[in-house]
Amino acid sequence: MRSFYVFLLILSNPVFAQQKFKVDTLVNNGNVSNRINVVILGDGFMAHELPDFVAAAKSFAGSFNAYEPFKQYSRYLNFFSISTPSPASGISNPGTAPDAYQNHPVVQVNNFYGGTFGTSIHRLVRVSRTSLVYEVLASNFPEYDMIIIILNTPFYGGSGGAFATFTLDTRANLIGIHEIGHSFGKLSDEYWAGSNYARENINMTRETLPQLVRWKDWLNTPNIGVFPHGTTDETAQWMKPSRANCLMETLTKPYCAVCREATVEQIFRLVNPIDSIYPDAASTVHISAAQDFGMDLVEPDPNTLKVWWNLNGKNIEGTQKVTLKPEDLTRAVSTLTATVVDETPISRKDQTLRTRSVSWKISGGTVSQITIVPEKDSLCRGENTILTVEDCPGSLLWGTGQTTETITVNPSATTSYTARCSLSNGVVLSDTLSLAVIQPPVALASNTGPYFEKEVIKLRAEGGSTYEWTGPLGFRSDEQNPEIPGARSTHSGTYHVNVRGMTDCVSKASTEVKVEMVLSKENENFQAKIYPNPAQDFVRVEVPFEGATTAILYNPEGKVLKHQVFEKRTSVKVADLSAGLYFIKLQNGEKEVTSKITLL
Amino acid sequence: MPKLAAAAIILWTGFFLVSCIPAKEVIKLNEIQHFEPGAQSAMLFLTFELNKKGRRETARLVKSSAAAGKVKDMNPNIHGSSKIETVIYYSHGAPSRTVPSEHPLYNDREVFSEDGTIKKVSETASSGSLTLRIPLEKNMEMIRLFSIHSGHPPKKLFTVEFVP
Repeated sequence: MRSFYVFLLILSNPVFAQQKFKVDTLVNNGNVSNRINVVILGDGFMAHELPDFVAAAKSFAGSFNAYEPFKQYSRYLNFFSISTPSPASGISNPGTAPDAYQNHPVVQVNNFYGGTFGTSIHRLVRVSRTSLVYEVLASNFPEYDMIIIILNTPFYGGSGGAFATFTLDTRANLIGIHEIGHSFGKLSDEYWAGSNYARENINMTRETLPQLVRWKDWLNTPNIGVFPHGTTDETAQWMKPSRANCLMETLTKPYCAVCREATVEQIFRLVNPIDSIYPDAASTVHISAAQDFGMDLVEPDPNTLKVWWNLNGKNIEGTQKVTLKPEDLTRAVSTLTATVVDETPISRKDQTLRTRSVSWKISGGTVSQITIVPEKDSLCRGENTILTVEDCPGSLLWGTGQTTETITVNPSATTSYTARCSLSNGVVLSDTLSLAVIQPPVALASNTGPYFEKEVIKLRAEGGSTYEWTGPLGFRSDEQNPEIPGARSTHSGTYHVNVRGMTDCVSKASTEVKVEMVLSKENENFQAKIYPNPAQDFVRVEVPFEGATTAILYNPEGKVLKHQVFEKRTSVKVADLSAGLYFIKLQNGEKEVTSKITLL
Repeated sequence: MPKLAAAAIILWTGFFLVSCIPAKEVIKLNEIQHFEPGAQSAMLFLTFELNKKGRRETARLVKSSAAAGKVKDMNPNIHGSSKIETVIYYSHGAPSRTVPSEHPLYNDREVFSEDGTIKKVSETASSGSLTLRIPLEKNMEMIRLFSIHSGHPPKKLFTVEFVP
């Protein structure tokens, strides 16, 4: 209740809500909109101690930038600190945890974010006023990408979650880097964190075959393999790429090769290696003399960026800039494209995410060519796009027979389109464009049902890189293979999944889930024998009760196929039914049981 | 006896009024604190207070504000089984977008030993706060918050409708 009033006080207090604090730029590598911005907060630092906080934040930035792969990509990150003075120095120590340090005085500190050691696990250091963390960020540095909180105590401790908290003990710096592995690199733990955390991910899988495992490209690397998390039960079913050799398992190790690769891929998801270009490409550039076209790149160290230049479909020589003269241009409007690829050996994934390009439209040349310009350079199958012919001062004829300047096309596969422009002097200019059609992922959805109530519904999807499930009862999940424990009949229905491929094309798939309305598949009040299972010609049924028992055999769609009333025992003829899964329900008075049976 | 009945009615009415705080708010985009209509890209910060009484979870919007800038990563890694999912709905049939966040009432934290070993600790709380940071887009129609907790169907917690 006390914390609730503190919460209300914070929200109602405009000083807290909108106060501006001193923001120090610790490492500035470029524009915040094209860098990963690490924002470091401090708790338990009084006004006169804030220089100590800034020094600790700088020290963390230094440690972070010395850690691979961030070391190589340090120019992709900015570091900032926000100084919030605490009324009192230090953080609270309730002293109630069994592992509390013996030389650590018990104290309640009135600090800014409510930083405290743990009550049941001492080294679980955290802040209690999380809403205040976001208030300060929103008012002082809203474009944060990673959040770190350093707490003013020399005793070891820290914790992870949406943001990493750790103390001034320098060993605790690695807590921040481990947490960034989760929040930034989207990595799983490589120690066994429990069933709740087991899922298909970059560095975690159930797949055991080396040729299929997610990190198969790294299996020839020292310390990388397909290692089970444990030897018993569920831990033996989940694999990881390294054994006690990765920061995601133990703080004394660096990131393993698989985690380094994932981190680099994520860096390129968020930061464009092309920082700026000249001249501006927003409108057509007219040249009447030699003109430079170039880029400022965010170079890794060592620099693994490669640049390719292309003018009107032909490769030309160039580094970070090229110089063009009017006589180089053969069209009224030429297209110059620069493509930048990071060829780092840290990643063995295809270069899609690590490739960026920029194009200029340039006028000033002599018309000797027409150009087909597509609205989109590539399409997902099923999409439309518009093709436009530029630079045709005569009569136009498309290969499709159309004569308009623009046409709308909807190819089902990569297709070439040709346009011919007849000039009044009899010269015919032509251009051909190959329009790439990307096949959407082949989306498959299935489930392991049908299910009885209380069973776990297991949905399966494949074919893409990300998945969005929806289904009955507002079900949604972004996991590839989500599970729904405690199945109920109301979970029955169609589950849809949007499967998105690496190219951003989306396919849809769906699967029908059936949950049978039975009390239980194991009804201890109704011990029946149903055998053999699997069965071929007959299913024999025995019940231990007197009186009439009804046996109903039905298929997974619920259609009743056999109905038989018997006493004690009977045989149900199934030779006339096709192979598959069926259900047999037995009713004796108010007693009831349903079992699955497989027919061969 | 009539006095007792009247008191009961008053108490019941009071309870009803208190317990029926609507799980819905309408926000005028132009009136959001620090909203700049001309900004090239903007972010919306929404702070909710979440409470749990028994198995009943409730949410209340306590603050909204805007800031210039871009949210680079819309798919944060929430790897526990409990989370808040925010579904953002857009006008003109644009596809909705789902943003996961940590669940403030079911916290998972990592604990680090001095020898470098790590373990996971789950905690529950009866109240907590959640701050969402999402891109502020003019065609946003509505967001809905869902509580996802292991073993339970998703529970709709709160709806925010946006009007120009």
